Amino acid sequence: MSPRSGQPGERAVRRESRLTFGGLIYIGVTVFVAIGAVNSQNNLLFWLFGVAIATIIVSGLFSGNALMKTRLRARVLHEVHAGQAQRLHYSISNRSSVFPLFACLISEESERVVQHGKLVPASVVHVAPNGSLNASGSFTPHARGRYVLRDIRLSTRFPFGLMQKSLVFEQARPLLVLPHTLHLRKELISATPSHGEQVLRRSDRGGTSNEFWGLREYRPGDPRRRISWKHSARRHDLVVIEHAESFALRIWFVVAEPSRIETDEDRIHAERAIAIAAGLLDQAGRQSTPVGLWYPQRSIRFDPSSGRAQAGRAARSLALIQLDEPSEQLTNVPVRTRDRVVLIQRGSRVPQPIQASRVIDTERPEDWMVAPETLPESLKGKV
Amino acid sequence: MSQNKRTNRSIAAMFRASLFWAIMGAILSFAVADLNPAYFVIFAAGTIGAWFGSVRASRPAPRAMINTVLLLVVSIAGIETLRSGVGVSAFAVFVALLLVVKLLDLRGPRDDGQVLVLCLSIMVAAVLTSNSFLTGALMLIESVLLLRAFVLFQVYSVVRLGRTPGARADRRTRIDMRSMILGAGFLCAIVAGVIFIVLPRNVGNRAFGQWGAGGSVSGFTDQVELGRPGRISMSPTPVLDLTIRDRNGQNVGAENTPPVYLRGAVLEEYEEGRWKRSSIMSVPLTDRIRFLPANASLKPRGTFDNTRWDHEYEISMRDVSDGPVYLFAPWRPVEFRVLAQPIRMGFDFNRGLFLKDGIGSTTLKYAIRAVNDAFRTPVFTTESTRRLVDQEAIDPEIASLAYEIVREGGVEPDPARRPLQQDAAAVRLLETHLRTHYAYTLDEQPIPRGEDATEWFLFERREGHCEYYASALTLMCRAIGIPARVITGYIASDFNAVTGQYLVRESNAHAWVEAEIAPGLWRTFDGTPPSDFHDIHVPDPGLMRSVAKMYESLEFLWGRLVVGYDSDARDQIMGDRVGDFGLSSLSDRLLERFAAGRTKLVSRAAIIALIVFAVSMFIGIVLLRIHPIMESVHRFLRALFAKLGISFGAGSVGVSEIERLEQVIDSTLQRSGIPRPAWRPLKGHLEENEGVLGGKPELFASLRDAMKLIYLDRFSSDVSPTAELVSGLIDDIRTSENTGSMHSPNRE
Repeated sequence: MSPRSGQPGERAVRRESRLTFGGLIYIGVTVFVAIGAVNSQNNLLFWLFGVAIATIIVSGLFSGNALMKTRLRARVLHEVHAGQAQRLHYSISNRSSVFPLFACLISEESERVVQHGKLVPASVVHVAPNGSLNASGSFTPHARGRYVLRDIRLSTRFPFGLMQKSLVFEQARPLLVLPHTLHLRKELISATPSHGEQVLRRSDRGGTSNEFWGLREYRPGDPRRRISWKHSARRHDLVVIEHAESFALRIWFVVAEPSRIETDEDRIHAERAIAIAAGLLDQAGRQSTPVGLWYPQRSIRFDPSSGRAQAGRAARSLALIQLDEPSEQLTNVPVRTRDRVVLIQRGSRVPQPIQASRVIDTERPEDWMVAPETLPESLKGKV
Repeated sequence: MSQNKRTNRSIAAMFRASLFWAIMGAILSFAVADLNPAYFVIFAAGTIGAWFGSVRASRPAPRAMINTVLLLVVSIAGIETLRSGVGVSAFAVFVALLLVVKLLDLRGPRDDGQVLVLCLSIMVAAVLTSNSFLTGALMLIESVLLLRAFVLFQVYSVVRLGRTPGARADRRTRIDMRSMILGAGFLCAIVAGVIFIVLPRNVGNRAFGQWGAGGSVSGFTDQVELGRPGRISMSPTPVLDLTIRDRNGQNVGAENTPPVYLRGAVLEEYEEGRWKRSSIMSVPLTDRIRFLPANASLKPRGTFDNTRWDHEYEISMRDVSDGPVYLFAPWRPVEFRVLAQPIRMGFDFNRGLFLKDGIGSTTLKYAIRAVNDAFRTPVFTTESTRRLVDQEAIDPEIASLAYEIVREGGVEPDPARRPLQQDAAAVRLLETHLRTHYAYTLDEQPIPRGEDATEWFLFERREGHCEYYASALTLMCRAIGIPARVITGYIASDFNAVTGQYLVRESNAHAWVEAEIAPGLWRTFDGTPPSDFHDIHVPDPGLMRSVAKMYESLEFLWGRLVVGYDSDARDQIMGDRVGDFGLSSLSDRLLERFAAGRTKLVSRAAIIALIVFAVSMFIGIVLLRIHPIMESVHRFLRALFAKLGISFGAGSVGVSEIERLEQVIDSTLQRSGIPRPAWRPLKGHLEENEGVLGGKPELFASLRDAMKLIYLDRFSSDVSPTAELVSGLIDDIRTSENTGSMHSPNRE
């Protein structure tokens, strides 16, 4: 493929033209001027009518020719959190050697994009003949989930705004929108008992640690390499060394949603729970606190682990939850000794069989948000 | 970067500036069309106030204030409409007021668009108000201003929708935009010209009745009411164009010759300072109203010898309104010929009266053939008798003055004893007396209550304007028994040697006298002092007058080619009678190939339009690309001069040179198999692909040097690379690209 022929998808799959509202009025005025010219035989009105017709012809000619050899390429999209703007980058090239391209808007056509987000089109003031340009718009999704931006519309009303001519390009770009990033209270994690503190305990596994725990009598079955011959000689009895191991206390975040999501209110609270869980995981990840996520109704389980990678993986899983799909049974979290369980749900009553040490009620944003008034619109609803 | 900031202009600022000039242009066009400078002063002041108070400060007025002012404007418009009816002028004033209010309320692109539409409306109103050359010229200028504003509006709207209000247009953008506007304007003008020429005329005239007030001939009146102020017009507005030809078709007009009298109304009845038409005079006119098709002729029956005409007067009346309109004619007409457009008219050859009735046209053209009675010797026979005049009706004081003047001149005043042959001399004595003993003035003074206006003029005031002189001379002629009548019309004295035409203006309206100096022989007399009259009505020759004449020539061409373009002219252009650059014959040949049979006008017009369109497209595209073409030529010449060793000095390099260097780098990279994506910075791309260019280290070094120069030019205001340096780098790149692979082993 020669460099000038462009990549597949850079060419428009279809062209569209439509009369704008201004164009409609303009045609009305033109007809009026024509009637006036014929009625009065005023040659200046004839001239004006000629100009009006010429303007329509020239308008179609210029905009059509400029778009004829336009190529567009959209760049791959990254992840973004709901409520945050995703920059949409485009590269436009004008292969015409005569006509420059002026006053174009590049917007996304995908239905989901239009419905579930705020789109700021990219504006292109000018692309010189044989020139290229980068332009960027933005898309701010209101809801998490998987989006596919496919149809790109490049439209222009240049030069007079009478006609809108468009090129539609097909370039599929998946976009994963993570749950909202809420500004959560720090104490949600710090106030959780024994949060992430490092403690020592006697190691059952033996002496891999350097930390010394103590001596005890030899029991049959103890590995011989754990016998401290020095101490045994002093005491005249077989003793073994016990080592201590470092032990982090863990937090499980458990998300519980109603058994059936029937109303918008149910949906909003489920979304809030997802956003809170994602936010807490992110916060814990930044603090290197080992946290896990237990969302049995959506088959999501992340065993406690520290680090931001864990938070990222969990957020991606949460982003892909389809609340319309039927949920599974609520089951208890597979806790270990001294693990803490934080339940995120609507209401304060802990459902069976969950055993939680703390409940975050989605109905009370003031309990979990630093500034409840900053709760995103899509999570506010009529609550 | 600093250079870019200096040269780049904000798109918002560019649009605002174009909008401002479009508004001012629209207001000026309308004020000129309506001949009312007050409109321009008021609306321009309002626009400037709103502009600096609200638009530039981006501070729209409060909604409550806008609504209140809007209500006020609508109320004023409503009252004005109720008072004087719906008119184009009132509509334009209303729109202009709306425009000023809208300027106080500019909140978004939609409002800007509305302002532009209002400008367009004002321009249309200006065209409907007047079709003078100045209006047309301003319309053309305003069209360009509006075109630019509309184009920039589209760009500005996109910038606003894309939330990049601070977007700027660099030099290249501005050049392309200028070329685009130029090309679009040129194409529009050509296409509009073709449409203007091709569209049929005389179809659907007044199908929807009269729109607007319509034009009217002013300055002229068919009633003389002495002492009534405000009847004399000093307006220079053209009323009609007159061309005089002799029997051989030669133009016989000339400068500094006696004026040509063009008669409008004949007034025969006098009563208390008022002259009016005889009631019986209207009868033959209205009785003889008939429809005359284009190019039809009217000739008098019986008493006239139609073949012995001296001159043909071709008259083109501008701004003719509906209803009865006097068709001005010289004395004595023997043939009336309608030119381009059919009219409905009444006529009376005996009195030389022509009256158009019914609907009119913007311009009305007709030709009159006339005999010149001034050089014709009266023929008297023994049976010749003087027509009886009611001398008793004349005021005794006026009669005694007339008797005295004539007697002092050596002519018998008593008609019973005076031979017919001396009537002309008697009238001339009276005319001379008025010209020499009375002064001309346009200052109107109230006539004392109970006094006759003519008597007051003759014996007390002793100064006045043409109507007083005409009235006095007519009454004095009648006092000595000679039939006389007052004529109102125009005198044509302003001859333009360039156009070969007389231009008659409103200020040339005049009143004079016709006296019957022999049975059936009416001759023109004018008691108005000619020098005084000329001082006032005819401008002095001089530099300004020469300039004015040039303007009038343009106005004539405008009137002839644009305003006066009619079906005749259209047929001439579309037909074979005049040269059309061979397009007609070419279209004929094409038609013969494509469609056997007779050539049809529409098909021919379509083919001509197509050819003109194609040619104009080509020229438009050339105009569109004029700058790149010029740049290519410039580059070629520079390269040529460089080869020849001619140096023009090593000045600071221009933006285009740096762009050229960047283009060379990009094309080199592309040829090397590592094309640079448009969004990737040059530096990063080069560094990333150093390995690819490993086989050509010289090329890589040249490219890196060039890249450094580009970055220096962009980001450092202290560095000003020279053209020589750029050319040297380009040469390095090209040389190393061609020889790099061979040289690299040696280097190693």
